[in-house]
Amino acid sequence: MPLEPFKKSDPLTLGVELELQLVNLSNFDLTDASSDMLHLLKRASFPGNVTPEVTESMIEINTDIHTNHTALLGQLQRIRDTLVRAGDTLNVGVCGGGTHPFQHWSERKIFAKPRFKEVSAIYGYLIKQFTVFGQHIHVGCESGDDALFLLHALNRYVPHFIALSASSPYFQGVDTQFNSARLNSVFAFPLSGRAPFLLHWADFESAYFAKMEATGIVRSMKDFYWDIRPKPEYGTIELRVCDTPLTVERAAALACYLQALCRHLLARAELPPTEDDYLVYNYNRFQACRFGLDGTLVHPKTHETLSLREDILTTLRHIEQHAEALGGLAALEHLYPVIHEGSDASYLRAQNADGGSLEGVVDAALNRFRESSNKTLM
Amino acid sequence: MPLIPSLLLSSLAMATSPAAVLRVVNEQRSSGQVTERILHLSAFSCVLAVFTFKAVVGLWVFQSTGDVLHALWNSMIVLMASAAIGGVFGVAVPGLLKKLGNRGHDATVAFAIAVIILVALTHTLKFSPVPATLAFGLMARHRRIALSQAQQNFGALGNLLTVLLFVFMAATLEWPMVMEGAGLALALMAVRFAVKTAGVVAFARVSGITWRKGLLTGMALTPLSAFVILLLEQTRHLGIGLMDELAALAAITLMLEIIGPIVTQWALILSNEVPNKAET
Repeated sequence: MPLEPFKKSDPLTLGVELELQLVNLSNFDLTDASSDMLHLLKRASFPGNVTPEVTESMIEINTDIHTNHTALLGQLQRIRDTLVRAGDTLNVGVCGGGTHPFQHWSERKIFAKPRFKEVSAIYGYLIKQFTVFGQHIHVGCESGDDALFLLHALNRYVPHFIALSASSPYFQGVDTQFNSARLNSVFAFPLSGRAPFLLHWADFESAYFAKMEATGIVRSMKDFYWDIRPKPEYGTIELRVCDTPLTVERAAALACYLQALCRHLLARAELPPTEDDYLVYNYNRFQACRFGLDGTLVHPKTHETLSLREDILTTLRHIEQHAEALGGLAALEHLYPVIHEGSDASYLRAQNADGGSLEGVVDAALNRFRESSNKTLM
Repeated sequence: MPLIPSLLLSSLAMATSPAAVLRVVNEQRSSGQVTERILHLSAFSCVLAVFTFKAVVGLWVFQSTGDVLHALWNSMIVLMASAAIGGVFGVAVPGLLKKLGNRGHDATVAFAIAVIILVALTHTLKFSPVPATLAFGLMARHRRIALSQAQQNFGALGNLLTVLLFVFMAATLEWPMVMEGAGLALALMAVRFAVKTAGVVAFARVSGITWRKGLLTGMALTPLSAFVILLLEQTRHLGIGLMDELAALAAITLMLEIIGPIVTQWALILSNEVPNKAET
């Protein structure tokens, strides 16, 4: 099936998908509860959309299309409240976080849906290892060419989103020393990484996708696990590097940071992206995963070494006018303290130091998700 | 059958065996709403069974002696004191673990030893170990003083104890008694199965699951808790003539020790909460 045409959508519209953890409240391990949760949620109207994910311990929600922070956040909060209520009925905990700190991948069950069974057959244990939880942010683009431009222009900013969202320091029961260990699970897939450097949709369609399809490796865009991928049927690009944050407030703030950044990039005030930008891409990405906000970046154009923390701070200030124009200043206000106080990964490590067990870490994540409407966290 | 013995028998029949349920759940590695609910319901049913049993015993003591104080002592006071001892353990043990800095380590052995001490203590003091251990578990889980890892069913130790329990149960039963009580036992089993299933199904939709899962939850509650024999044994010193009930209970326990877990296993498989063998 050839690639479908890029659907034109309103530029800079937003949509957010969150993969969430379903937790057993007796032992704080993951629990296979998605079928039961979906059954219960289907009985009443849901403020958004809820779907199964590849293993039974995950559930995915997504918002409608939004243009500003207030509406996006409002819907995410309603979704959160509905999920928490359903979880309370079934005694299932719902929380964010890019990984579950101590679940064992071998105990996961593949959700009974043909596509999931199919990918499980192809990738084997990689799919169960893939019980990790990400936030995907869609940004609407006017054309395929705009989408590809944004996709590549964002390459230098990908580490920002990794570091700000990082919430997966623990994996399979140990502190990985990474801030986002989740992305290491994504990297195991053969079609992960970054999109080929093509700036015109026509080229992407004929010179890349058609050839890849002819090899028989891929059938649709869904088979690519890229950090950012175009989604022609929605008319969006989809940023997929973020860990699911511990709160929906953080999720909304990250989405609106991306929105403001895209508005800035579309003004074409920066040097255009080039293939050589990607020379430093994997290194920068690693720095953000490993060290989070304490990481260092190599600027793709000037090759100077930058502190990731400083670079985010500078960028936030730089795009303030765009955030203001989009009604998203509150999102930036949310992110400033994060840069100083640390990401969710630091929060989770502090909980472990404080309470002393990974069960306590999960308990803290559950409470943070539930009570995130608390003003102190805004 | 007279009123008091039938009340005693029916109160004992309420209890679903947490040991059997946990054993099947661990063995099948099942998880989901049926699993979640049978674990909780078996614990609740045991609490309620002990409570009802003690209340009936109190009633019997009152009827036969007319002594309210004696009656209360044998029912409510024993229950409350036992639960209180368990509650104290539930705060003290996790507190001690936290203080010892044993954080993040597997606390299975610590909890297993605490349970053994608790049972020994309550048994020696002529209180009831069942409400004590249940209160201990509830307190340790829900006060969340220290959240630590402990294997369900105490891991290998629990498996060993389950085997011992089975051997012990079989050893206390006498064949002539089993044969004698078989008729009553079969009738009781049928009623018990029907009531448990109907009870759970009735509340299935309201509590957020499908009728089907409700039905399977009810079925999975079939295993009878072995502690009913212990309860009866404990009551012997009061002088209640319970030979008839004991015969029926002996038969029902034997049958359900074997059939119960199989029914639970079927229910879990039918509810799709057991991992597919081909997939793992």
